[in-house]
Amino acid sequence: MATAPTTELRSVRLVFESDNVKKDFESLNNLEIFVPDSFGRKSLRKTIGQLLKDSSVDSLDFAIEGILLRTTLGKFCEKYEKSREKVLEILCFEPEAEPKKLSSASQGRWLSCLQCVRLSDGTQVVAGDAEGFLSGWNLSDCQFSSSWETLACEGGHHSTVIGIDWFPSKHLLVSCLQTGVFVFGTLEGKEGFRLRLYQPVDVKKNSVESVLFYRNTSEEFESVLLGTFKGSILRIPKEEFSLDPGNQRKEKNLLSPGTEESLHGHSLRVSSLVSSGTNVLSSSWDGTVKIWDLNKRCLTSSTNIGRAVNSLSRSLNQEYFIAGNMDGSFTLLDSRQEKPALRKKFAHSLATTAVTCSPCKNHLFCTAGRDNKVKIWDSRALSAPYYESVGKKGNNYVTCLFWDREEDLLLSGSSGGELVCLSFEDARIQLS
Amino acid sequence: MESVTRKNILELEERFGDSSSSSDEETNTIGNVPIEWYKDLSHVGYTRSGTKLLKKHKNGLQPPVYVKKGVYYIYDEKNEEEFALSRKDLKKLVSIVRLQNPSGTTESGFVGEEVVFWTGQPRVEPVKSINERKRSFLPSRYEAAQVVRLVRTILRRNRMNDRKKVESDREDLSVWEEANADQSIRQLHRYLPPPKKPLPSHEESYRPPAEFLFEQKRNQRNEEEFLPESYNFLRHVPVYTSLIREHFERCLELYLAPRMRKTRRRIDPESLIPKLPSPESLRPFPDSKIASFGPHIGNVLSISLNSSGQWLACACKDGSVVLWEVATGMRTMTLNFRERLLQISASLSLPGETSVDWEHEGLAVLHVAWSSKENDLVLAVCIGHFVIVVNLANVLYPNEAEDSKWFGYSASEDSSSKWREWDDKIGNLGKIIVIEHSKKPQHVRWHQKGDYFVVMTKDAFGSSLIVHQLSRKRSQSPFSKSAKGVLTAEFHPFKSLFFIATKHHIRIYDLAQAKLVNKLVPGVSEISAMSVHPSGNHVLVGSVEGHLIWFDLDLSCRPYKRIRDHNYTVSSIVCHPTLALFADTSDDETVAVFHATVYEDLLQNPLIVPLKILKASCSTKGKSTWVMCWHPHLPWLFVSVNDGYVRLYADTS
Repeated sequence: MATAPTTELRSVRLVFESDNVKKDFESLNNLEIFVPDSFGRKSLRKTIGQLLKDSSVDSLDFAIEGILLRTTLGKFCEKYEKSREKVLEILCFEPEAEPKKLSSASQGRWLSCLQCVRLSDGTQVVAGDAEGFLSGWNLSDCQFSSSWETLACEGGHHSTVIGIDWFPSKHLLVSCLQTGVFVFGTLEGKEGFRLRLYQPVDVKKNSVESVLFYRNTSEEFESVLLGTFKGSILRIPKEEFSLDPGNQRKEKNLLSPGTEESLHGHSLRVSSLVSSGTNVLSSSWDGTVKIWDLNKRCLTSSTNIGRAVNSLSRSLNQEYFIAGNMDGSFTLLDSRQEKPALRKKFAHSLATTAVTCSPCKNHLFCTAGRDNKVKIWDSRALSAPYYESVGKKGNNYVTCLFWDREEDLLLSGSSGGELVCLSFEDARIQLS
Repeated sequence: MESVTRKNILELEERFGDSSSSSDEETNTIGNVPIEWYKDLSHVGYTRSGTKLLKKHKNGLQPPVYVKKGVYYIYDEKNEEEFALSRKDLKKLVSIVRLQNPSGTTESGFVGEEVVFWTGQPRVEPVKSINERKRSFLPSRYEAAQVVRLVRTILRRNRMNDRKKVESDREDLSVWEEANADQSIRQLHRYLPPPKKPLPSHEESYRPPAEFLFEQKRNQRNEEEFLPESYNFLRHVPVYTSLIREHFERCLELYLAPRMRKTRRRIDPESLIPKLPSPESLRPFPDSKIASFGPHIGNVLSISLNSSGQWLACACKDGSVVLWEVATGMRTMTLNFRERLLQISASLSLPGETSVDWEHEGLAVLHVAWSSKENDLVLAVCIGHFVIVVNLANVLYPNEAEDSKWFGYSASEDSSSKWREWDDKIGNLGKIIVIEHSKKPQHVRWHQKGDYFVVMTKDAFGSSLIVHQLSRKRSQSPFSKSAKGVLTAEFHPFKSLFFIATKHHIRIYDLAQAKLVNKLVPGVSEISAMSVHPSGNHVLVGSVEGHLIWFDLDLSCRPYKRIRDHNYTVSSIVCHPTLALFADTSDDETVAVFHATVYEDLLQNPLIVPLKILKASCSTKGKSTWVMCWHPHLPWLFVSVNDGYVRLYADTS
């Protein structure tokens, strides 16, 4: 009797990314080979190395349909129910190199939000802090230099800067304070005019916890959404923001948003607001992530995460959302499926303070926690972080993250006022 | 019935022969015995006189019928004779052999005269001259009796079966019935074996080996002591001297202390544990640290979270109150009340001697409490001999309307001289109220509506309660007599009731009617902490032994449940305002988190489930008292540990 073969063969096709493929691999592109089921990453690398005969392929990583290969082929196909007849397309790529810590700057105050501003002569990083100051650094050759700082709202009481936005055409910097004041100014701290939000009497003593500058074009706001501590989301229409500083008085009071302008649904602090097309996602301490339709001004759907959400971020092509939770975990909401598939992962030993997704690579995102760690994750393989940086020992922790699109810089601001820049520039392969 | 065989027929014939051919010859008298018995003998039988009949000839076996010279003979073996058979005899024999009637006359085989009883013609007279008896045509009484007996037996059996079935069907309802009297008596007289004595050893033998014997005679100090002695013969052993005394003692012992049979009950220890739901099913509850707020200068003596859960106030030992924003962990502001108090005392010319003392005492902020009214940001601070009330709405929300800057009371002239106002210029606090007390205030408890608050003051001579009203700037001490040695006091969440805990009792007063409503007796050596459940129907009491006592006010004034969860004094108990959770902490540096569902239904008792023991690893010297507070909506527990950090525990499932 003939014994059954221990491993069955499977036909695979090796696909190499066209952009950043080394010349060595061109000969192997779209090559179909038969490999046993028991093959894993190491065996595949070895096979490719044997096919090429000379070059080292130790750094290659493999993905099948957007999922990283972390087991043997047989187990992978069993898990994802891939039929044996079909030819598996294995994407071979060189994984991104770990980011480099480029430079850091410190200003001594609690940083609460960050923004990169493109100017004709360079890049400026603008940071808002807890005492109401705006600080700016010139970022040239990934080095911070010549900082300026100014009070965001002159004469006002110190209040945390919640969000900063930049209008490149008008050279206007908009900052939103926790007390609900919008300040329009130029760089270097010249204050143009300010708008003050008067809240209705019944929502007195409500602080603004999150802000979303929602705009279709880069020229004008479509509307501005404010998430408050008590759970309501206030929508300020664009009529209130006419961005012509010449015609404006120095100070203007916003009309108190009526009930039709505010979105009610959350019961506790709205921690984060994220736009996604015409929809807006809001995360809250009541453990839900809700999707609102801005045109109809109604709630579209709600997902219960079951733990207080501190921060929410959207991936580049809106395939998934990352919610950073108060218990130190993050939740990955997969929007590609009918029901949002939730995957929870404990990332930090203390609360997660901020999450952000990469604006350049779809699968990368970053979390920061109160344990003073910044971890960069690959959404295809959540078992371990892809990069981890531990801050200095002490009482500080990372409070805000910003991932710049154009230069692929990850900025993180800490509670001690330290600004750290991580660069991803030598990342070669961009995945679809 | 005897079957007709050839032999019988022969015998029959023989008898006929006898009668016909009877001779004087000796006939064999052996009777009807088999002739084979005489086969080996010389004789064949005996005559009547007893002489042997000798065998005449031995010509072997002969057929019984044979032909000799044209005549059929039959041979009689017994008498050794031949009979000549006539033709008639032969006929008979043939018919016998053919199993037919030998006479050949009648079919019935009856040889004698045939009497015809029934000729087929009905007759008028009976055949017999005797009348038929009556019992021949009446049913027999005996048989009738037998039938009746059988019927009765059958019926009785059926009835018995039915009864058995009914009895087996019926349940045994004798729940309260004791065992049979006989049985109980038998139990009384059940033999109780005496305890087994150890077997006698060698030394108790009448002639023990030499090594057991003492060489010298000991002084017999104790009469009970046994001394081995040796005798050569058993008969030399003297009478046991203490026999009678021992018998008497034994009888006395049996009389005075009869043996009892110990019924040992086997109980599974698992079954004694109450059936409680698993803690996993009662999530969320705080189980691990997610954030810490600090460091503070000096220890944190008290923490308080405002009604919205946004601002955490920490009272420090250095005389300042630090406000933290819970969401971000940001130190929003530090209010130094020590400096303020020194300024106030200078400007308001408070008694000089106290101000001198402050320098030495260090002026720690002993307690801090936010007003429990919603949207109210009034903070009460206990420092030195003063309670300072600050409205922080203007500082925390600078954009607010101007009216929230102040307390919203109408300044009344008859305000007590203990109340002072002061305009703060350091931290833009606006107007603050300073209330002076004769004793050092220890803690403040707010009423739900945020107008009244009660201050517990204490000095070396005792403690007392003072109730302040913020809107009218009035103070009163209504419990000056009854509340001696008071530990803590609290307002009912919504009724006009007031709870006062002294060392041994908890008194509940109705404030509207000004009378004592209830008095709770915890039955512990000393009360150390008290908390009123948000439902208002339950009171939690901690004791110095580390016990937690749950009072259900609807049930009785006695404890409903007693939980032993700590080794040392329970220092504080806090109930979650909205969720079914409470926590208590003790001096043994642990926090126990409980789930407590309270039902509206009066018939259902509260369900209390221990969930988690939180241990903070901190290196503190000496006695440490932890303070806690809950987040108003989320299952978050803030615990301040003596190392200057406030830890936030939350659910991480």
